[in-house]
Amino acid sequence: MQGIDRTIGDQDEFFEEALAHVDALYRTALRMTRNPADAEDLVQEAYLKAHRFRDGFKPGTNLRAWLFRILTNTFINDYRKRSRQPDVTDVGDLEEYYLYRRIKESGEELGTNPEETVMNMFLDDEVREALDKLPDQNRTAVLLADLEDFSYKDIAEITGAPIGTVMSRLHRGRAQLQKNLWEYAQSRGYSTDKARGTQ
Amino acid sequence: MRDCQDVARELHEFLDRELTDQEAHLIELHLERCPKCYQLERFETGVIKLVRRDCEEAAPEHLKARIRSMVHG
Repeated sequence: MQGIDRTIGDQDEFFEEALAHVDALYRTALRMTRNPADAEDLVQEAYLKAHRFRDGFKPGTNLRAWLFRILTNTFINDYRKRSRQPDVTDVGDLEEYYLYRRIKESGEELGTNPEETVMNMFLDDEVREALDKLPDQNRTAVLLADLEDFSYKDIAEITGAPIGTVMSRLHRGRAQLQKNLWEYAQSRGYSTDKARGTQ
Repeated sequence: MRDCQDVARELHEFLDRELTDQEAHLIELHLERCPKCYQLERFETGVIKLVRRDCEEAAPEHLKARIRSMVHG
């Protein structure tokens, strides 16, 4: 991304460039707040701050990461504090590769394409609900990594946490997500045969 | 050389492209000759992709309009 000279004539250009990231900010905000009205408010507030504090953006640096930092700060400092929904308690460390191990234990086969098999195993609603049940910090780490494809270093800057903390939140969040998915699979009487649409 | 335990420990960093080229290469060499670890690697890739697949959502048009008018208005 090119740097932007913030002379008066370029102000619209800066803002339009920022607005090009609105879909990404919105989809993340939607899973942070877990409802569309709050997500819209959060994104609007983030853009208002981005506009107001635009001088804090260093031209030539990552505009997308800068916007996500504003969004995440706004979520934690403003939205979270006035929310009536309490945050979920972190269940702590879970076994690694939780879902994979449960499936292997159940004696099911993953077939020749395990990636496709697991993707066919879950409905979109289930994945969103499984994410929604994660504690805020772990969910935010998973969203920034898996949905937005930010590096650990970027996530550390966006959330203001050290890299080691980011890695542990991401690790826990992914394990909890897998545990939640496994519960859905079990409640449906899961079988990979059904998932593959055979038999 | 990397064994199955190394892969289990480093797999997510590998998938997140956080390893150095050399470290990643060692993992790849192991995956090429270990069907069990390769299966785990493919499975975890699928789980990570689920998040992307199911959270795609475009911002509503009225939100973009509201943001523009708020800033320019």
